[in-house]
Amino acid sequence: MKYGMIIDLDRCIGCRTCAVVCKNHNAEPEGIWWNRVFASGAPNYATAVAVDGGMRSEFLPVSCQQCENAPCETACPTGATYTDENGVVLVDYDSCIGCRYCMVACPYNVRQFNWQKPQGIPATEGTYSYGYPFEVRQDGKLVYTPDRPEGVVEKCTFCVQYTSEGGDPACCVACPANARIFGDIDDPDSAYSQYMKGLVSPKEPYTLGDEYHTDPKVVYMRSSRKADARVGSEGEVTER
Amino acid sequence: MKETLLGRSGKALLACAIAAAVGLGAWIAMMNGGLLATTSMSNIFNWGLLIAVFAFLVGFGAGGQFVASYVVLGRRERLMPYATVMQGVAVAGAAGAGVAILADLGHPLHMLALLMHPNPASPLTWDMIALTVFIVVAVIGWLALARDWKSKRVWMAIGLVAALALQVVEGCLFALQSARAWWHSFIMPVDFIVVAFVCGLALAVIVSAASKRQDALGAARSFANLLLAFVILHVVLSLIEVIGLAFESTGGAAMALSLIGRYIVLYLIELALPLAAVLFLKVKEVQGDRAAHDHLIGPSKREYAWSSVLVIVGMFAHRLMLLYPALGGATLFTGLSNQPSAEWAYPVSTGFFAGARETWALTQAYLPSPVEWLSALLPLGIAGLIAILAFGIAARWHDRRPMSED
Repeated sequence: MKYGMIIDLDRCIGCRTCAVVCKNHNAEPEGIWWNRVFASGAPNYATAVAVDGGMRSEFLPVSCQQCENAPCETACPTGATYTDENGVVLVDYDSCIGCRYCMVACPYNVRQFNWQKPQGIPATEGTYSYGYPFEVRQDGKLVYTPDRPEGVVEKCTFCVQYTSEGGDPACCVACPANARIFGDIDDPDSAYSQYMKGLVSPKEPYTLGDEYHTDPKVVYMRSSRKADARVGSEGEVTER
Repeated sequence: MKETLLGRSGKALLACAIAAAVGLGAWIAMMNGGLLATTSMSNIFNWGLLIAVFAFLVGFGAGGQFVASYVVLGRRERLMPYATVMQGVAVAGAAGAGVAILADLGHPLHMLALLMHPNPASPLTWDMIALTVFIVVAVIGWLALARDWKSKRVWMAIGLVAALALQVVEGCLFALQSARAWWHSFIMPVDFIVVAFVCGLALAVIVSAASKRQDALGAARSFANLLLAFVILHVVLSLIEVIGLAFESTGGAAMALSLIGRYIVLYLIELALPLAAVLFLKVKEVQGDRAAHDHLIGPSKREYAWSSVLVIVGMFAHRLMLLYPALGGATLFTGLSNQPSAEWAYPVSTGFFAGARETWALTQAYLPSPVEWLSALLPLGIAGLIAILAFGIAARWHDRRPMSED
């Protein structure tokens, strides 16, 4: 079994639900985001960019690419970062020494460091916590805990707390546009394989950062959209 | 060598002990207060001043060994008194570097995991092994010189190999990271060796210039001539790297070049300052030679010492510049639907969430916080302590030796 994820850029509406739901379900401490959604090339969020004489906006969600050839795993001196039997790159919080070499090695900048002891969220009385409330261990390795230790690195686990029980990652479940498709790459009946089978031109898959030879298991579907509108020199929309 | 006795070194020893204590206090404050609140690092710039100090001290560790091995294996009899001192510097630099890397860990209590389950694929594992082996070899080498063992030449040869291995591994630690265009070059390990020579020789010039030995000026001149060659080599290698980046035409290379531009003053301190210092010495030497060995015209001890201090300042700037162009910006570049784009970087989650600091950013300007500067005193102070102790102990042993020559 090898888990993979498809992100269909034609479907993504840039609502950032995936980022928020990810943060919530994985108890990501303040300042930590495993999931990011930005418009490619735009200086600000949700701004269109000029392409081929027209304007175009395309949202690109980026989280851990679950690389087959993961530079972070090679870099980790203690083996705290490892690939499990499902092909998911995980971090054992008990073994991470916080050297941050994996962060340096990751070309996607997805790894996040716990720079401080995570605080609860201020509430009317005291603080409250969020996220999946139990520890998850894999062969004794602590791969998820809502009480994140200070001084360790963390990142997307494909929601190991759910996928280990047969479920899907929270971002896939919550996506309102069904832009994220998750499943077993090796299983021809999985949602992942079925989507790939049904693929029609001009959609074509690609992976991020091919120049780094990381062989990601997160695959993007090239957007088939063209520039939406033509804008005149005065800023008026002249054609749609 | 009586000048090196602990009595004279007492004040320096006390200063180093105080520096180490202050550094320890700052490090404890960092650990207790949390790195987000007490340092300037973020998820973009995730290696800071302590890593620069680590690389800086490693340079002196290997550099001290290079100089000691050069003197002993090359049978440079005139320079022999300085070999033991430089071997002590080798021990001190490496030990200080070890302290720096330990202090930089986010979770040092998990260090047992490194001993129990080391990942042989990780350059950092090999770095730890190379550093540990080097410290052991350097200590034995120091004993061999200080106690005048018959096998001292063998130990200097082993030390030389260990120092070379340490610098190659150190260079590979950076060079193997393809995500960082500034580091990803075969020049990096070579330059690590060259910079270690620069550090070791610069300190050797200072030590010889500070000595009251009769031939101190001649020794300083010998070391300074070698220093000139290695400074020029470092400058040439650095320029080749920049030119290589300019022709790369990738997003990472463009980002690195733009960051070099942002920190151009620091880069000039790294390259121009040492070059100017060693050229100044060379010009004065040539003038002195032309004036028929008039020592008043050649460089004075003070000029040798201060020029070498400037070289060391440049090498510290170099260690900082190792980080800025590599860690100052995002590394993922992507256009629409993955069209090649060297301009469109993808924002990084910085880790900041309060105040005026940006949660998402493409670059980060890093200026070490006051606590970080103070914490750097821990490895520097410990390195200083070890160097002075090694100096004093070797001098005592030397004085007790029968038929001492000095």
